[in-house]
Amino acid sequence: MTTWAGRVFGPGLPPAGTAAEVALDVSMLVLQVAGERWQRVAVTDLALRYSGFNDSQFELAWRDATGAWACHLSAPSDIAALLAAWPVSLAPLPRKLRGPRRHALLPWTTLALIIALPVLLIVAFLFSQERVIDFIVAQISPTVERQIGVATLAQVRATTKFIEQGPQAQALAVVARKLKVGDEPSYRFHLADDKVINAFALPGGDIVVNRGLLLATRNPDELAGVLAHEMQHVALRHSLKSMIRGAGLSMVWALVIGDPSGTLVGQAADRLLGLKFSRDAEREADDQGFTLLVKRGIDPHGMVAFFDTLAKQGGATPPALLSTHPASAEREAALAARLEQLPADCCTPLMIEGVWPPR
Amino acid sequence: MSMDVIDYEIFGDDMQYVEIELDPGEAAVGEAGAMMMMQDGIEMDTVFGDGSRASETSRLMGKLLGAGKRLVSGESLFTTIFHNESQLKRRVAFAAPYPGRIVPINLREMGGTFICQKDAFLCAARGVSLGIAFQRKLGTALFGGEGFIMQKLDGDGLAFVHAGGTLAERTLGPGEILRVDTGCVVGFQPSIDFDIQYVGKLKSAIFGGEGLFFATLRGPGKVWLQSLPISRLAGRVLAYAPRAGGGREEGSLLGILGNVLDGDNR
Repeated sequence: MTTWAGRVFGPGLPPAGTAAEVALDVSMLVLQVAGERWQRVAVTDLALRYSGFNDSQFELAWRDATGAWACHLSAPSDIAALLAAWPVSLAPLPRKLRGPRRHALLPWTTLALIIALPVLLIVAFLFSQERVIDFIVAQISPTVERQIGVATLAQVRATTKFIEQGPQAQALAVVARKLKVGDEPSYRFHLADDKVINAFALPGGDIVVNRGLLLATRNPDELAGVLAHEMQHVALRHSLKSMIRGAGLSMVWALVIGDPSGTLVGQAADRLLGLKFSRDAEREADDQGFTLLVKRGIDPHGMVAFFDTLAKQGGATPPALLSTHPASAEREAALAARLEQLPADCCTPLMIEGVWPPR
Repeated sequence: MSMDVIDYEIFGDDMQYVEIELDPGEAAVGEAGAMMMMQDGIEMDTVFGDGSRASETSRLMGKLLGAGKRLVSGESLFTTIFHNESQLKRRVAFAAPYPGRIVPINLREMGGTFICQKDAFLCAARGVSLGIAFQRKLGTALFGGEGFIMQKLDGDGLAFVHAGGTLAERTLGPGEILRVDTGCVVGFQPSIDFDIQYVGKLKSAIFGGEGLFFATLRGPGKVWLQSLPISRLAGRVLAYAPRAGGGREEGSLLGILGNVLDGDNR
């Protein structure tokens, strides 16, 4: 019979307890003091728990006519051996037998975690940035998106005159109507009185085209190409994504839970105007814009041709459209490849009455 | 582990010192700075670490570890060993650093280990090893009044611990629970379950003056409690200390008369 070193406390024993050898004999706990068999207790009478400083000891407690008794085991190996040899069928172990604290240096671990947590968060954010941003964007409701768009549009309106009537506005409306048949979200196109060759999309569906761009196009197909590209920025919520990539966490939080004061929407508008899209976003918008054009039966050659002209025009002062829409050889190559795969009779050039560009 | 068996005598009432008699060749370890007097023939040796035989035989790393533990428990890196190099019985005395009591702890009786608040250790027979016992229950460490780090005395000889005010020795039977004001626990056997308990009522917690938690000690085993933790004493002394410029000092304008007139009845 294997014995383990224990310490017994009880009536008549020294206050600090006395050393004992502990053993299990089938259904009885056998205690030996100084080699003599001294007491036998039925296992069914024992209450088991971890006890002592830091729960490092295992307590077997029982009562008899003389009073309360307890036997403590302190060596972890002894405790494990006792538990392994315990007759579970006779006396089941208590359900909540909480062991000693496993984390030897809990305070230090906590401290280290507190220090490491921000670092870990940043690393995790960098690694899964795209996924995190996609998730956050998915939490922003279309209403909030629309709010931001409206606020931004108001800022643009404050500095730029919009052309509401005339042949140019009409031409834009005609081309736009060709593109957005029954599409969600609903897009609204605006013509700004600005000579700079540029066009930009705002969250929520507002697309602003400068008069300079309209005049730079050589046919309606080219304009349609630019519009299709911008529409994809809206549909794919690119501006929200870039904004969140650059925004502070507090702003993200406020946008997700709602913004009662409305100040953040204004700040968001500020940010949006200075935005640049990533190359990935551009490639995506090109690709899906191309698909949209083909779906609507508009010749995508115009889109490719216009971007080509813009790139060539570049020189010392590249058009604004290029600075907010970074071009790359890769983008052009990808579009050219798709053009080649296109069947010859896929589409017809857009026909608009009158001269192009409209004056 | 063989220990030096030492005889001792404790003098004084509330500001005590303990005098230890060393046979030729015997030695005692003392907390640095605790020695009060020693007779001719006793040699003082300062060692790195805790001066136990275990650390004497270990290599540098073991010594460093032992010293590090002492540093963590708020004590000096060094321990002083007092050994009797003469042919006669000689005495060395260690004094308590503040009002309180010195109690001898027989580690053999305790089952080999005793856990006490840091700073409580005063002196011991050579062979007692001093270590730290990390309080792993977060709640107890934060609110139990003894902090994360306690001191562990291992061995089977005599050790002397010191604490403030009057020291009460209590024996707890199996399962018996004693609720103690936090900070009043001096030390206990490792079989004691040291935990905390919320005082129970919001009113008591805020206005009862005992704080939010009691320390609870659950038996079986022996515990020692102090009636006046040094921090409490220091707080009171500080509260009555003459503040800069505004205190009642002996050198005030009216001198002794002034003190008589205003009656120092606080």
